[in-house]
Amino acid sequence: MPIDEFILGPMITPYENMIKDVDSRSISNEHTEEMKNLFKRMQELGQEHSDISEFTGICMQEDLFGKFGILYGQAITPQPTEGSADPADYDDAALLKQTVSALKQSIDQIRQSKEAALKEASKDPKENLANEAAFARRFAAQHGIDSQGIDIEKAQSANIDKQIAKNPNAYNNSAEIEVLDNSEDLIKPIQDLIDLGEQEGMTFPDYLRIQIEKGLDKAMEGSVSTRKGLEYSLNWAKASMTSPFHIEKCQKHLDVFDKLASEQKFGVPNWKQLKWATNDVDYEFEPGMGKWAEITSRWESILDDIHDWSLAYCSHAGYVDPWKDIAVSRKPKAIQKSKDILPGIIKQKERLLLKYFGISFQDIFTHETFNWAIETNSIYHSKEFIEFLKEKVYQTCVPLQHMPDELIAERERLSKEDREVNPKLTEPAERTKKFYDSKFGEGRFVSKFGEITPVESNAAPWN
Amino acid sequence: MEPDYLQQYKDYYRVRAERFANNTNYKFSYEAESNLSNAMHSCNELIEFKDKIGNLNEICANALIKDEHIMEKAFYEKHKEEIRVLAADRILENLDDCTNTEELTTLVIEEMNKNSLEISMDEYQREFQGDWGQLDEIEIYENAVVPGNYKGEMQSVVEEVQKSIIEGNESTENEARKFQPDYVMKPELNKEHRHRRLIPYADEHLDEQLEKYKSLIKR
Repeated sequence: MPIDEFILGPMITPYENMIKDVDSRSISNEHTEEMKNLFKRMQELGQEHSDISEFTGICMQEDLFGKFGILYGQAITPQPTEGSADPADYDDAALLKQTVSALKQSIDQIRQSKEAALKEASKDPKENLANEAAFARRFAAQHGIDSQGIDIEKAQSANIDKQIAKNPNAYNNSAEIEVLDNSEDLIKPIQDLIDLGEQEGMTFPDYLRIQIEKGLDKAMEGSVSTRKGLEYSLNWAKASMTSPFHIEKCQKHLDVFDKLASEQKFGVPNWKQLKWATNDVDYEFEPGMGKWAEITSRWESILDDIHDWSLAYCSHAGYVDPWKDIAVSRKPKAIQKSKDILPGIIKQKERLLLKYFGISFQDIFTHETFNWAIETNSIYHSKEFIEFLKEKVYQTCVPLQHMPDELIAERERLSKEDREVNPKLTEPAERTKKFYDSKFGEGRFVSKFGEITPVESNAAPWN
Repeated sequence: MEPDYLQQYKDYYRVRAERFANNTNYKFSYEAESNLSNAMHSCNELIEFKDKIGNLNEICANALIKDEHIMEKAFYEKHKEEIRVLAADRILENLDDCTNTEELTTLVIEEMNKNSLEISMDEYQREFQGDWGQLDEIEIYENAVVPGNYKGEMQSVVEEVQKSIIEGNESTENEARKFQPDYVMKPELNKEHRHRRLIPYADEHLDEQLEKYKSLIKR
């Protein structure tokens, strides 16, 4: 069974577009012929195979995509004329005009790309849904899947309406595209080159020389927008505060950019040197970031389990996570199981944290990852609740034993008085909202993602 | 008055070469561009350049690719990226055979595409890293002290996780074989620096997990 057009299309359409491009430019040569043969082969493979990854695998083995790209480059590359012409045939004005007109075309292309991105960003979500639903119906029919009378499109369409009523910009990214768009930063240096080329009395060799002397050729590589991108990443890292490594890494990217820029005559870093220098920074930070995330996730899991174990003894356990969605008939057994097995599991998780990272249960609370969670308010539980778990519950959390009655009463009180949760738990989301609005416009965050749900907690803050 | 094209081209080629002066990362480009500039400067009339240019322009293109891939090679060697370095290695090995920019472009694109597949195949081996947590889960459920009536359930969890790891590996291996038909998972490769640097555990723990993993997936 051939691969459905809905899946295959996005894979091969870019190649079809390259053929359309050469045709529209009336380019016809051995390269374009071969491009068409390769595209035909892709279409054949799409008919012969039903699995898209199998299709991709064969295309890769036959190097169809790679060969196609090379041929396209060869097809559209004009033959060089610069410098080697016979003076009798030498047409300086034509060379200059040809170059300037190519630059003008590139500005048009940049503007068209922006328009296309904006159009995509404000596309009616139901248009996509209709295509997806049509594919789902074809897939179900081909594979004999009974949809049991469920109209996915109708149900999803209602969800979209509901979400848009609540968050009007949930599916609209045009403000984000407008702000993040770097087309004017790219266009400015190209326009400078055009202006240079159109100066009265300009000759081709002078044009080529002056653009190097003034650094215009380097500026055209997009350094302004690259630096803005690095700044944006740094500000995101500061708002999300995932770890100190994330912030330090982004800061170092920016430092590297500025250092390399300062070493250049026109303040524009060498592109390749910048690439390897920023990659160096990535390599430096990647292991630390991974270790940080691993340690954090391990102690969070231990604290969550102690939380669940103590909660299992509360009278309201059946009405809250992780048991609230379990069928009533199976609920008591599930809660009992948590009481019975969690101490054994917690001890094993503790053992692994100690074995791998030398961190004991008590060490968790002085570890830098824990301090960071407090400092950034990304810790779910309140200070008094963590102290309760650490000082009291943990001491009784022993395999084959149960939580003493006096602790159950205290545990219930903490729940009933809403003192379990960190009262500043929304602070990370508030930071993100502040950054988002500062970047994309006041109120944009809420219009896309909705209001941040306030925390109901009577506990004192961590800091 | 007709512009002095000869002088203007001399100035242009001089400036072009000077871009690379004193930059140790671009020494081949500097040399090639200087040769091109010298050829231009030796002309008394523009027409002479037609013969004197020879293949100097092509040599400049080769030199630039050489400089850039020397930088790439140095970066990957520094980080012991034995697979990612292969593209630069092969490009540097073969670029002197390229006589025009078309051949040069083809060489670079072909090697980059080839290397991109090699990298994907190599990084499929990181399945082991993703499964580390599941190996721990097996250890946790095997060793947790729980009342006797839960032993069966605990064992079921262990078996389910084992099955998930085995099936996950089979699926990854089958996926990789679509691109490289003889592909085999080799978890041991995770001990090589390019993978090892991403594993935040001590060598002894890595060895221990690898043994368990290999015996489970029989690779």
